[in-house]
Amino acid sequence: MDFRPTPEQTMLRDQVRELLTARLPHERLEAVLASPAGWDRPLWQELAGLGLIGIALPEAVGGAGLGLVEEVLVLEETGAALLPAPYLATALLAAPLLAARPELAQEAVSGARTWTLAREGDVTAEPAAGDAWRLRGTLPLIPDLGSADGVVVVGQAAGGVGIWALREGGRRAVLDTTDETRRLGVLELDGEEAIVLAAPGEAGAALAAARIRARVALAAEALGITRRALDLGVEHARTRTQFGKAIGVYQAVAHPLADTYADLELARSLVWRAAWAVDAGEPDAGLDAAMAKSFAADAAVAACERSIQVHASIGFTWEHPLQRLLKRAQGIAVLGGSGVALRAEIAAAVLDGAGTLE
Amino acid sequence: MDLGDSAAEAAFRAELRDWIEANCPDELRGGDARDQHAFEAASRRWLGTLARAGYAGVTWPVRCGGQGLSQVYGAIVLEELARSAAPPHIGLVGLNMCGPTLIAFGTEEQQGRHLPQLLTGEEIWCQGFSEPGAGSDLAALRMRADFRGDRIVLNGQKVWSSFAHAADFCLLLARSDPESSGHRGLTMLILDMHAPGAEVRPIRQLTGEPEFNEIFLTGAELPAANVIGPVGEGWRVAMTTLLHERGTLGVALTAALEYNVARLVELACMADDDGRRAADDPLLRDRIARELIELAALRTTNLRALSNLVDSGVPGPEGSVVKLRWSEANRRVTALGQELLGVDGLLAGSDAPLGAFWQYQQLRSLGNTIEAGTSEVLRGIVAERVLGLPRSR
Repeated sequence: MDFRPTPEQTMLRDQVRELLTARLPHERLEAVLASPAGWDRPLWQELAGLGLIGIALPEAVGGAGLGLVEEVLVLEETGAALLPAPYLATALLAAPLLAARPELAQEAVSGARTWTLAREGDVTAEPAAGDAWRLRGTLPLIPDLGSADGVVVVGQAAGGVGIWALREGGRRAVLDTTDETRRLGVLELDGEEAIVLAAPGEAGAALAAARIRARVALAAEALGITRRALDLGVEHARTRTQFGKAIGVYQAVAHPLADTYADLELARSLVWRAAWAVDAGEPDAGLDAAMAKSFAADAAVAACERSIQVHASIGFTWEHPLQRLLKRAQGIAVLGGSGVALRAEIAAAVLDGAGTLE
Repeated sequence: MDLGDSAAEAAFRAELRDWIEANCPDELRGGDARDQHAFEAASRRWLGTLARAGYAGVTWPVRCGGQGLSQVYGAIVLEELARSAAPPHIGLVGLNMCGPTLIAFGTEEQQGRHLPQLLTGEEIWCQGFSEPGAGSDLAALRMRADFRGDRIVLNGQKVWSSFAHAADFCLLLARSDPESSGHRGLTMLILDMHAPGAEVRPIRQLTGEPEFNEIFLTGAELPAANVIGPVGEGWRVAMTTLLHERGTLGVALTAALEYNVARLVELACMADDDGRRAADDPLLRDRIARELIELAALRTTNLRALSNLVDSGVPGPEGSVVKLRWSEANRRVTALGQELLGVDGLLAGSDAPLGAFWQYQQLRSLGNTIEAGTSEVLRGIVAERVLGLPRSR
């Protein structure tokens, strides 16, 4: 047992942290969000150039052959930086499914095409020529649809549930969202052609694994948000003076920040544990993922709320980064299963002898 | 990052688990409300059994009677003992705090005289740090240690000393320089609890048990050879003692919480006469799930802190939150257990269901957020030493 990041893992995390800190100062993030595209494609190309998109994909498709443990170190940084690009959607949600078609995975890894995953909808699929199928139906509330070129679609065909890759097209509506760094969208399909990734009836294991991966990834981003909110709160408490003293001297200010630190470290333990469990093929990995997501998302929202309170009025303004951190945390809290739903799954596994989660 | 046991660790764990199963007497298990006197006698025998099998002080150096193993093995012993509901034994203060302090600062003579007996439970040790006027502010202590030739004369009062009523020796922090104040002028001493002038008065806790004590020292004497570390450097020695408490304490506490959570799940899943289970109530399911998550978080955080401890000799900062969060979790879990009993939860002693386990554990848990650093002190330590916020004192 040695549960610390290796020197290589620490180096990877530091490299990503330095890059995102340098590229995404607050003003730059605001400018990107106000731009017509609404996301940062040049930075995407840089991330691809560093090999980050395929970090956990097999070397055969251009990946680095590492695992979810490395991914969560990267995702803590994308969360902390409020990365306005579909890293989680492309690298964690879509790419492992695209690996069934190496040419599609390679294209994603190179940075040439971004992706997201749409699994909640009423899409039906019919075979067309060759590997192509025709998709029809509506997929609501797809994360990152505004920045994704392609969409991995989960749909229904005669043989059961299957997975398809839609490289482009479909009728898309990007919605106004509270979290502008991860916009949701609606996709309508009316006979567009898509490439089959998992044949109808053979998608179950891949979708179950994707759900676990998504939860761990969201939890890792929440970790980054918690850390950044804590750093901002601590910095303010050290530098803001009232009554002639730094306000951090008052325990009513300091102790909530100590509580955030406790949440942060406990959340980090759960996220690392879940990532390790997935990589090690542990039978309880699904349970670990649900625990990590439930805890880390709640912790991130609470961390932002506490830091806003510590900042007082300035924390309540649009210009302060805390409002964006809070909204991204609120998004993470409901994507991939709300805390209440996840805890219901955990309770079922433990109290009803339902065995381990998928 | 690897959470799994190595092959050697796994083999050690499996062998220990079998050994506990075969050797821990049933009457010691379970943590129910108990006859204090009988418990102490049985607990002392259990420590001897552990020591003869080589499972006491596994992290101590071989020359001091230990196995010279890393803290990972120390943690495995604590985890397995708690998981099998083997009792916290009376030698814990000696093994976890006094022994390591002697190993770090004691003379060869002191080590040879005390360490073997500490391991077997032939010597029970207590700790004499807190005083009526020096609790969270330990440096305010006033116990006087006057050097007179080759003797030291003690006058003063200690309080909240666990197992002092049963102890043979006390690791005592006293003020050797009467002109000094604060951290300076303190000296760490070995006091024979049977010396004339040493009087122990038990304090009855709100559980009804006398687990800790006041110690009154009126002209009690000890030889000058009983000084641990340099005279006047007692604060530095005491900090080492407390560091050892912090090192693997979290593992032991969390393992005990794991036992309580398992009992809670068992209780919630018991069907009543109509076949209904408390575990079918959605609100209760959510509360239990929260505790399962908190438990997993504490366990894994211990392993991270332990990894840092093994590597650098110092526990990582993440370990500083474990005692704080464990104490709050244990209060919630035990209160929930008692709540599930309903009005039966008001019954005490032999009239109570399940050996009064939940009644006792819930009341005892109120001490958890006070002992070994109150929650307020612990949050202050995180704020100042980990987050770098300005000192509030």
